[in-house]
Amino acid sequence: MSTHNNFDPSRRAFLGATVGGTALSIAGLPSQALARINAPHPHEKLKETTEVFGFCDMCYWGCGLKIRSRNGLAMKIEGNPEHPNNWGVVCAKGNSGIMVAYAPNRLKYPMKRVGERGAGEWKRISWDEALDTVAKELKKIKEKYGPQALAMIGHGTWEKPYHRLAHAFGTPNTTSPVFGLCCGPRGLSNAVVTGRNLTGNETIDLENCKYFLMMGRNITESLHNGETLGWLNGVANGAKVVYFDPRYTITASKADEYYAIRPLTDHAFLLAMIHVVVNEALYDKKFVAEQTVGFEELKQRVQKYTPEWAASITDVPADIIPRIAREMAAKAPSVFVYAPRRLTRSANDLGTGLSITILNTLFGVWDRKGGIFSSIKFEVPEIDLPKFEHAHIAKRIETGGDFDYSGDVPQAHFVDEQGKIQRADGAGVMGRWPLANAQYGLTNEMWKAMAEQKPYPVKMLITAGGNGFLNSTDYKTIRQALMNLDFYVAADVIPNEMNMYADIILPEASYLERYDDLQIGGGKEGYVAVRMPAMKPLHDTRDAWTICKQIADRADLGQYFPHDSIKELIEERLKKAGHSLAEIEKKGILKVPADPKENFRGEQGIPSVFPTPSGKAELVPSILKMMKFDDTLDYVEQVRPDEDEFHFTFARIGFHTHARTQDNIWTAEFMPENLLWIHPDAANKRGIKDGDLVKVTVRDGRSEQIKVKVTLRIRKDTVFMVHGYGHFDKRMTTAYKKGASDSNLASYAQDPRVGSISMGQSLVKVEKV
Amino acid sequence: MRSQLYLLASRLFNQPTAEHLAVLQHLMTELLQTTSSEVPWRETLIALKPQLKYEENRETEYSRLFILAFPNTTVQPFGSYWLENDQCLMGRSTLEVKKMMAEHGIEIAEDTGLLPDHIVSELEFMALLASQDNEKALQTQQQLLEQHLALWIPRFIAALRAANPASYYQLAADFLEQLIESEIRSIK
Repeated sequence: MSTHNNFDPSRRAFLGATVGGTALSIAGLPSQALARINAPHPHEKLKETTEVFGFCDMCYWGCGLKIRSRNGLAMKIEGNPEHPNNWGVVCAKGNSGIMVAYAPNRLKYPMKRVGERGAGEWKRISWDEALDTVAKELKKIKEKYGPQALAMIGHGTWEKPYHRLAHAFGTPNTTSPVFGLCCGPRGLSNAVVTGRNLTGNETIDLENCKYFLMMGRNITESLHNGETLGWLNGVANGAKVVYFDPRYTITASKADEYYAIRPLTDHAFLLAMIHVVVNEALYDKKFVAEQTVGFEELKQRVQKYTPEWAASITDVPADIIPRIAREMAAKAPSVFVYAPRRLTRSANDLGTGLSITILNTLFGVWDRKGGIFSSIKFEVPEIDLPKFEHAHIAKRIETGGDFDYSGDVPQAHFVDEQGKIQRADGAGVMGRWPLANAQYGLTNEMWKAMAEQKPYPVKMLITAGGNGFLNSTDYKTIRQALMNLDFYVAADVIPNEMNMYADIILPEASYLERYDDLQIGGGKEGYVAVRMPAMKPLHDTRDAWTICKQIADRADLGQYFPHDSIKELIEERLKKAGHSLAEIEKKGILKVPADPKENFRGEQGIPSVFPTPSGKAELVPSILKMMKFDDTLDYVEQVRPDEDEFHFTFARIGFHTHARTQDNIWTAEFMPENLLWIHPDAANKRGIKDGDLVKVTVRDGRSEQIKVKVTLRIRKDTVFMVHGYGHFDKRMTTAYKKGASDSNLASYAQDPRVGSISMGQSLVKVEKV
Repeated sequence: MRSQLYLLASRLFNQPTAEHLAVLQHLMTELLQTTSSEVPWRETLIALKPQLKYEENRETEYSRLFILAFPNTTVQPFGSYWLENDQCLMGRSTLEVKKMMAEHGIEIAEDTGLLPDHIVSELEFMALLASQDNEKALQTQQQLLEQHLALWIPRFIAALRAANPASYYQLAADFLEQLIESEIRSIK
């Protein structure tokens, strides 16, 4: 039997709990653990299942969840069938979310560092002591260096209150890895060409697409339920799939055609595609004439990029390029050139991203069936807050997964009207990284700013989730940054290599144990979704909003957290939107229906909205020309391995997210350790056999040891490993020393125009141990 | 007396704050006055008594051993960690203890941060039951001892000794082992 009984820990639905005066005494001494149940215990209710709704925190796609609880404990995670991010489907990671709550290794109580920083000596302290200490240190830092000396790095669906706390404090230095370490160049490409956002929950009409040209978009392994489902439906509806990747992935196995492209050379192939499309007039002539600018200049610029030229660089046969271009033109606008999810790889990620956006634009896919649609937003106003003092805090949007390039961004990034201090990571700062998103910042540059204490001192750090070591690269910089701090506060659910360095650990309630701010998203239909607690927080843990409010109150910033609880805050937000918490808790989600007229304006002959300086899609973006960055359109030579070296590649797999799920007892069962993929010829040459332990060494001397998987599914000049393994924190008893860390091998070169990290540029040697 | 012994054990495995240690001293004095010289733990208690003074180091040692160990692995003070196949907390065994508590009108007090099968909770529950003179309390004690404590405490103690604890916790481990062994003997 199940009911839609909304479990509310504050109502103590099941647990009578202690009420004043019922304290227990045993043998004349006060109890320390036990209390008398106040109300008669409803035993008959123990077998009932309650259902609450939420959205997932196991990756950043934000699938809608329905969580079943029994006896006040979350027992089973299912998908919310109403939620457009997943339509009721939950992946292996989502299912394993239960073990986030029940993991024995969870951070359970507030802890204070007592030994050397990073040595791992702690003392359990009370919440009051922890929060008082944090507030005191905040005041100290502000007094000594100014508010900009605080940095905040967040990485989770619950990081929002920490951004607010940092902004209220007055620092511009809040960052999430999503831009600089992941999707930045891809998001930027769409922003500068069309002024539109196409990342986060991408608005691609997958079901109706007839031709997917997939540039390493391994959609079946680096998967998000709604996106993978949409793609599968598109394939089932007859879409052709042409897939490019140095590795034969599961997606490659589902494709009609697969090409083992040379690593880092996608840009060359794409430029040749543009060459053919413009020279053979395969583009959407009406769309290009009416809704774009810069066509003639683009045409001139790509003349040198012939298919033969591309073939010599990419190992992709020259003759397939015109054929693919023609096939796509025949199906356009129901076609899509699919960028990789993470586009932080080569010496010119921005150029790669741009050529993808340009191809899509030439095929006229914007606002067309089977192309890219315009989303509908569920409008839920933010609460009214006093103004943040600092000038350079870009507006943050609600979903935690989108870039907000609406209005005058990104131009506003490089304007300093009030002469206030710019971001330490240089994101959006003229003369540094003006193109980088000032809302999410460049996490790689923020670490560097802390390690070098330039351009100004950054002496206090708050992290909300994340793992600087295994999520980025360059352990040395991260370690130096952490050691330089006057004070470091880590809020998280699990222990990891980064929070081991904290001065104070604040244990977060898991996403199954709390309300959080609303999830607001837009697909063909607009939606707002709620996260409800499926159980009380275990141990002595608290939710992010409560923690931030309690710090703010102590740091004289209480006016930025005017509500008593996050529940009260979301109630007010929903009320402002003309709805209520009770209403949204019925199905976990409220929606505005899809509107084909709005989603597919192009189908009605209505021009698309392109908020660029020209008001049209800019095939040679004016922002880049203004900044003299338009040479990014041109191909840049990529690093090539010597005879005895390999390109080093890594990627996600279907049941792990970044470096945060390897210690999960359930997901670890699927793949306890990662392996180094190597081609049989390359293995034989080195006397390496399947299962052998090898040492992988980067040119700069960093190395890792890992077991080998000899497989034909990879190019001879490339090795590969699944991302997120090689944990070196002993407290992660499941993940400790399992496999190797790709982060310790990946390159930390940067895209020269964006500032994002280019992790694919490492060249490695492999030898038997 | 059994009740006081379990209380002592329970307190020994809670955070050694000044407040807890004051209670421990009181308990210890009482126990040493009343126990006969033949009980197996008497020497252990005598050795422990002078250590019942507050020291910040001991709180650090407690945190190292039972909460957030580094570089050693945490000695997990939860029954379910030792009894469940997947080491999952709040497993079936935890729910059994929770149910036993509920049957006696008891639950874990709010804001203690404890789970029902935390060593502190189970031992205090035994103390409570031992202070009651009725058949039901006796049955529950037997069940909790045989199906829970006797199964996981020896493994917990072995892990604790392997973690090379400070002498306070070596003695606490000795006492707990002596108490549980004696309880198992007397039940048989």
